[in-house]
Amino acid sequence: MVGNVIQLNQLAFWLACGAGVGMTAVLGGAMQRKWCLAALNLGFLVALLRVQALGVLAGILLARLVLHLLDRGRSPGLIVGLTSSVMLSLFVLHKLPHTADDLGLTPVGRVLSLIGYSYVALRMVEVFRAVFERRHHAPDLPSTINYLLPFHMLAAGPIQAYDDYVKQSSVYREPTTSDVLAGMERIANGLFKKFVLAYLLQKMFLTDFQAPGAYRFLEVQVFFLWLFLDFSAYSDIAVGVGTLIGVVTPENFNRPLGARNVIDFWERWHMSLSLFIRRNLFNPLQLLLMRRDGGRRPLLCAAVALAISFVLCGLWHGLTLGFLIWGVAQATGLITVRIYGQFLQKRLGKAGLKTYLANPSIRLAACLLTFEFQAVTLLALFMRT
Amino acid sequence: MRAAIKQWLVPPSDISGWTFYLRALWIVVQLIAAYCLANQVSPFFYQRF
Repeated sequence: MVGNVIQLNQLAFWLACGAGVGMTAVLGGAMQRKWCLAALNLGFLVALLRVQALGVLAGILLARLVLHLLDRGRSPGLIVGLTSSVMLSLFVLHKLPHTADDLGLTPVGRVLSLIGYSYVALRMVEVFRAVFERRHHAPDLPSTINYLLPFHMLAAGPIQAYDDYVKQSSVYREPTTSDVLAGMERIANGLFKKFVLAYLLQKMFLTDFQAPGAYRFLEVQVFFLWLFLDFSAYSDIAVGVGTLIGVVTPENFNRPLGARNVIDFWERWHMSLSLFIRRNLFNPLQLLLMRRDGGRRPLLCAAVALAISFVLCGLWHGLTLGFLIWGVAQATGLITVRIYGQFLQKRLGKAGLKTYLANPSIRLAACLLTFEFQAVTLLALFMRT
Repeated sequence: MRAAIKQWLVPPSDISGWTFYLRALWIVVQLIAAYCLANQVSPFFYQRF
């Protein structure tokens, strides 16, 4: 593998898929499958990182040990504090590669990029929280590997909820012919979207925002479409591979270009991230604020929780001013939609609001406005600072 | 394993033979098109995260 990202036109990924399918066809027992899947995930890491995979394995063993200690209830506060500091430091190294270079940690930065650390970190938050809150026991070693580093979800997610992972790993259903057909279709659709449709759009219309004047307005629309095709392609492939190897992989997109407002958009775009934010940031924050406020100003509490959640969401994407602005813009959009929704309900009443929402012209205008909002806010990412 | 793969190539009872093979053909067409352009594509935007 070359470069700092997993690429879908490289052999190791498809060999791992083939091995996974073979394994699914041959193995029956849940325990056997779990260990073989862990070996496959580790094997993929070795193909990806060579000797540096040992560092990742050491990290996994450490995570397993810490989860075990947390499960036993030994100094949970200290463990959570230390783990959070380490995870945050690694996150900064991952997001700011020049910092890793300055500290002489270039190989660490490269490994973090290759394993898609942003996604691994979110999965770690999920599993640590589940064990800390005593919803689940610490996972065993193969489950830790399979949950944190599933080879088909490393490139671009999705982010599986730990609760879902525990539920699905206890029930295994051998793929039927219909499952195999559906899985192959998702993979083929994904590859077609990425390598044909997204490529043609990029080739014909995108200039990396170098073109002057009014063309930039057209380019940002096409860029948003390209981003959707490219990103959803990865999710299609992950879901398809998951179907073939018997690992339930969450959906990440549900026709987001048809969203009628920003809230609706985030329920359809990168759904696994939206659900992660809701579970781990928005809901706990809103609850905390409501308790402090005594439930007097629910809209304000929701607005503050949304603002904090989406600013952090922006910074998760990148530690740059552009992503900060993008996060603030998303939060502003979400809060505006909430306030506008309440205003409409007060003004029109429940029945009036239902009629208003059912109006096809209003729906079309709302979809176009949402599309424009999402496209234009992407410009923040290309600001030259 | 051979038995499992053989089984996957036979239309299941809930899908007609025509539909099954047409869908399979579309998969092959998409894969060929993607294969032809696979080396032209630059890395994925979202992977930078």
